[in-house]
Amino acid sequence: MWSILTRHWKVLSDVAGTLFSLAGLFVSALAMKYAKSAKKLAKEAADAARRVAQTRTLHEYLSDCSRTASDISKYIDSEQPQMALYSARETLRIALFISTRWEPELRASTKRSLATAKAQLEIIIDVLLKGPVTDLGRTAKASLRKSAQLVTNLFTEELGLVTRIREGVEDA
Amino acid sequence: MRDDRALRLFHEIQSKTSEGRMPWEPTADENIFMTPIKDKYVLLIRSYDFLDDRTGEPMGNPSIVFREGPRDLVTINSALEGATAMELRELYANVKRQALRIDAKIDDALGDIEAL
Repeated sequence: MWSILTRHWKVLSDVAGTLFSLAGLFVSALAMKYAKSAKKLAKEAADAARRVAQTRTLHEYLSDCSRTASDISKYIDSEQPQMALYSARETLRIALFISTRWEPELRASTKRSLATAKAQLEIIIDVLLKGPVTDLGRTAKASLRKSAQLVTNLFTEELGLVTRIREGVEDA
Repeated sequence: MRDDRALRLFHEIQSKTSEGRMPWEPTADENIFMTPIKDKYVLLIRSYDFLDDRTGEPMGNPSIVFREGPRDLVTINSALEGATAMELRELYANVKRQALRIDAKIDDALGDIEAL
């Protein structure tokens, strides 16, 4: 046995070396594959975290819009036109910010809702600027109230959508 | 005033409104109705063309405003060649009827009255 080894040590060492190289190549290939998977997973985790951060902030703004929009009706009913005007302007300001800030990521249906809400708010503001709420007739006040409610409903629906996306119930 | 695109827009609004395919909605102003277009425009139809500078009273025939955000892009009124005052009045009446769901409300009331 020893004589076989000493006679053929060069061949045996070449074979061993080749076997070790192949093993090393195999391990490198495995490592590369797992590294790529890990990188992909890390990227996906980072994207998910960024989405959560963005939807949480969009959620907060939509929550503000929903609240200030509902204040419009409240102030119309209690005949506080200046406060109703302030709420309408504030809601419009936040809606404009949302449209600009998240424009590339918003769904078409959300953009449409925002366009409707903004147009309704502009007309609410025009009506409130025309004169005191007390001077408005019954039907005119009803129109104002109904429009404010429509705006509130639009923001509440969008808030619901963002909440469902954030909780993973609905796709972004 | 000649504006072929604005006239085409007017005719499309007339046609789609007659077919009941435009989702007109009331607004805070009893004299204005609106509908969203795509995700960034709105169409407003109002019972007047302009407001008197001194009194703020609505004046003139109905008109349509094509708006993007706070900017009015086009106003369609009886000054537009090819759009008559009568057509604008008829369109406004039709829009008002649809936006306020008058037909459905009449049907609802008729149901009760006929059951008496």
